[in-house]
Amino acid sequence: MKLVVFGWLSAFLSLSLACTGETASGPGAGPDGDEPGKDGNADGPASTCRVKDEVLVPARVYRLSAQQWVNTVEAATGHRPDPSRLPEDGAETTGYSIFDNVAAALVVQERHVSAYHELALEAAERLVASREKGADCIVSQKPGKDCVDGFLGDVGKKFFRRPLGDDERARFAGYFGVNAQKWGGKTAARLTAAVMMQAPQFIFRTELGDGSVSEGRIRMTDHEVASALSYGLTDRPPDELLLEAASAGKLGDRGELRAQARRLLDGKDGRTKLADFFQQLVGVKDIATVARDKAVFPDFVEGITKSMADETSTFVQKVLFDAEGSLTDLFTADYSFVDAKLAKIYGVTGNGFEKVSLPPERMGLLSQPGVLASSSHPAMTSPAMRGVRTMQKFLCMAIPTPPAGAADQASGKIFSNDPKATQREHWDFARANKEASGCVACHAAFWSYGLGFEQFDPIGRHRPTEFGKTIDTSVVLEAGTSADGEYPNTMAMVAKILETREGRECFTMQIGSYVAGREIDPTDGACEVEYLANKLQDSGYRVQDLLLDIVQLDSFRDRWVKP
Amino acid sequence: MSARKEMTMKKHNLRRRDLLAGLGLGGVFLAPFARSVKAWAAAPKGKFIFMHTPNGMARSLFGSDGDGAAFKFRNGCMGLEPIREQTTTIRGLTNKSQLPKPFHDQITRLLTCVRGNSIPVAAGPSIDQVIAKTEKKQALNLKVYRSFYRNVGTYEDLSWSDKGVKSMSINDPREAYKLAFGDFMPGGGAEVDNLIDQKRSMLDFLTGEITTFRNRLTGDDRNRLDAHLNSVRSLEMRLGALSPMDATVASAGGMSTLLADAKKAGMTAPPRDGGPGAYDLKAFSDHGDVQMDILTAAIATGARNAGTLMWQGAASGANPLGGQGQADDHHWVSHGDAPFQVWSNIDKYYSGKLNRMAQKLKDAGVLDRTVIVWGSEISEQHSHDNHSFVTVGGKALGMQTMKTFSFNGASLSDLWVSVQNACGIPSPKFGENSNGGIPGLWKPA
Repeated sequence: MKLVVFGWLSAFLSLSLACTGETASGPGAGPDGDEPGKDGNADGPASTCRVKDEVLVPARVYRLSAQQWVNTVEAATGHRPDPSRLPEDGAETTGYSIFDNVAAALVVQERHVSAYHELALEAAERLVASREKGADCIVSQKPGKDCVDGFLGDVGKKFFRRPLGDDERARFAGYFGVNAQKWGGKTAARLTAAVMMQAPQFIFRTELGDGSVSEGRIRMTDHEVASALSYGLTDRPPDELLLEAASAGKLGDRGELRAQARRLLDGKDGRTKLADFFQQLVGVKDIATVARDKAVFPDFVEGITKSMADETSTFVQKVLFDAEGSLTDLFTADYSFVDAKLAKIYGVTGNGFEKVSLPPERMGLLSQPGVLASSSHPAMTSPAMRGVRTMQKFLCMAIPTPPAGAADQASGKIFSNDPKATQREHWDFARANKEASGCVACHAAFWSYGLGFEQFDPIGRHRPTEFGKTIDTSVVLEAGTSADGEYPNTMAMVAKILETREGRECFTMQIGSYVAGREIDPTDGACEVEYLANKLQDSGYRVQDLLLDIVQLDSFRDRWVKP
Repeated sequence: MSARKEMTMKKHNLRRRDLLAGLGLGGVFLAPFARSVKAWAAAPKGKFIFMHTPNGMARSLFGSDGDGAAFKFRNGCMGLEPIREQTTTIRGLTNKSQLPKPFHDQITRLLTCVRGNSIPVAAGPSIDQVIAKTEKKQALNLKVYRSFYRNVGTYEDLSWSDKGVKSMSINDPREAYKLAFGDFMPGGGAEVDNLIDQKRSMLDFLTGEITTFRNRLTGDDRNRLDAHLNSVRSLEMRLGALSPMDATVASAGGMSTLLADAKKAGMTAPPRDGGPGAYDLKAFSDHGDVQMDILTAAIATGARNAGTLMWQGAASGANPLGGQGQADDHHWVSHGDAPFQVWSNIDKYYSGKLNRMAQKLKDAGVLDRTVIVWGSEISEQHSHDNHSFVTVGGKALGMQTMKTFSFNGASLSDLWVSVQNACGIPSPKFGENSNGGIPGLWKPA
């Protein structure tokens, strides 16, 4: 039996992805298109998209994610706070781009303030202890002005990722002075460091520029660019080299920017961050919360969710960095890296995340147990969840909130009463049931994609049959895309989608959203998305090259301000 | 414990031993209760708690009939029998929606009675936060189950500190306790005095930095910084309420006891409601009790003056009476997958929990000055008409009890007008569609 994805989906896909027709002023155009930019040693021509206001996003501030806050404290003090003591970040499940660093979901609530307060005090204690060990003048009873200036300049730059402004320096020096008078230099240093880690200049990353506005637009400062680059590619604050480049005003040069980005990407944190993107893209990031009845699934042993997450991270890093592979390789590979726990699920022999060849039913990332388990119910698979994930992540479709009465119609109408019905039989039951027509209208798409994963059970084990019946995983995509056609399963379908313009553009929007910390608007950003997607194809689907192209866009550093 | 503190508790009829026994958390509550008399004397306004349960109520078996001596509960509210003198039920309220058809995501409107253009965002502050602000505080928003029904994050919270700024509900009791009562410090005497002084200096300075930073921003970013600023001020107030002696006492039992006990009880990371069989009934009940006790302790001591307790997110399915199949899932039960009585019995279970919470406040001597409201995001079958609510307490504030109110389309926002009036906010308006309050529900005390 074949299922067809309804034609209405093409409406979701018909994003306005063509260029706007605006004339461009050539490679490296400035924000107005009338100033030559600096190309330096950038690879290939820059975007020819004219940077219009609607391509840019407003000037604004971004709260650091929990991970970024912890990393920044660690980089500045040498002490790494326990990330689990910070409130968990999360994003609303609307839109197509669902990552835990999306700025709209990151606010500072009371629970954050409370945690920052506690952790900052602990980190400041460690910082001052190390200064004391080094006989730093700041821990003396009455530190001199030069000593205080030196201390503030040093820690301020690390905490705020830029030199302190004059007013700012005066305020913090005043705070230090009052406390030094009362408690002595050591305590004043501890309190000042702690207060800096709780200050908005620490907690938020800004994209506000230096205050100057040209024709309604601002250009981010080099230090803001350094932070955007570093947090976007590594989740860490700018290191010394990047800060030096920013202080020297070098980050306006595309070649310098590209070189810095390349350096960050190739480092340990860059690899980890890129793996984190794919973990979130395929839904493995939250696998730790998945639970299964051990009596039903004895292979779902203690610690296996960590193995699942580690498999995805290891796989992405090995393929993209060590093997210099491509996006295509990630979704078509016939191998993975498994430990002993996962080997049981795969039905192979493996240990210590060694590379193993996979049975023929497996194909790349989407056949990894963590991906399949995280999109299943505890006792059964969920074609709807698996299908929704496919639509959001690989076709960039925003899944609307269920319409009124949806749950009414689903109850007892999608699922037949036959306890031995396969998921496809449940779906056939629903489609034949006129009372479920309201459900079927939307769920047709979810289920058709999701049923293409039915050869894998709720913990990701392969199962050729269910209740003794052969499982049919075939799917037909008929959505007005160049990938339309029949596929043996959804993994093959997604691999094909990624080869198409729509697939490349969707992937570009996903990774662009993740790096920027905001969802890329598919219409306003259409020209740049098309440009980047073409570059992705030209590069042989090299993901790291796509990231380098993203950070060189004018829109990476230019913002507009409301009149 | 000092003689002064013993007297404090006695005077307020505070049965600390009972509360501690209920919590099983050892000496962790010593400090907050010891503060109760100061806080109460300084806070004469009314206090507010909203208890949320998902999926509406089995209406025809919910609420009460009659008034006064004839006041009689229906099955779904039978758990409230021990505090019937403190209780009133209301049916027939409408939470008018901007949506063409209503749904569970109307939870964003439940306590705000106003919604933004974006579906998951409320466009105004919720009643708990409005009342909290009368004492320049923030509401304490707690949750029992982090349920993520069908992974819709929108359903997980109901409190909004401002337009577009959601206050997330906390399901970890350790975090809830710390937010309510602060992070106690080791040592005592002059050392504690100094630490408190130093913390205050940091928070004072921070408010200035945030204000300076905020002035560079516009629009939503300003709202975010306002939320940040309010949170810092809230922490500052908690610190202000913590006397050096309290801190010393707290450090003796303090957080380590809470952490150990909560961990022992398996409460550190309650599981999500991933579907049938994914939850533990005893853990659900125990976890709920702890969260209720933290909330009532926060209210009783004056650490907070408003709060909410969500048993689960909107539309969630965990059935507190048990069951493994769809027919026993609370959500599906509310859609007719089980006999109506099953649904009503779930309501009855929660009414027992509400009784427990009210008793705690009664024991602490603050129920008469606290209004508790119980409600759900929908009424029945996704309808936002004919909503049922229960109010408990607030007699000293003028809340009328042992009454059964039945309306045909009165606005939910009028319930919040009556509640805010009782809590000392004289405005006849709340959210959209308000018209001076529910007639007869509140009379000036």
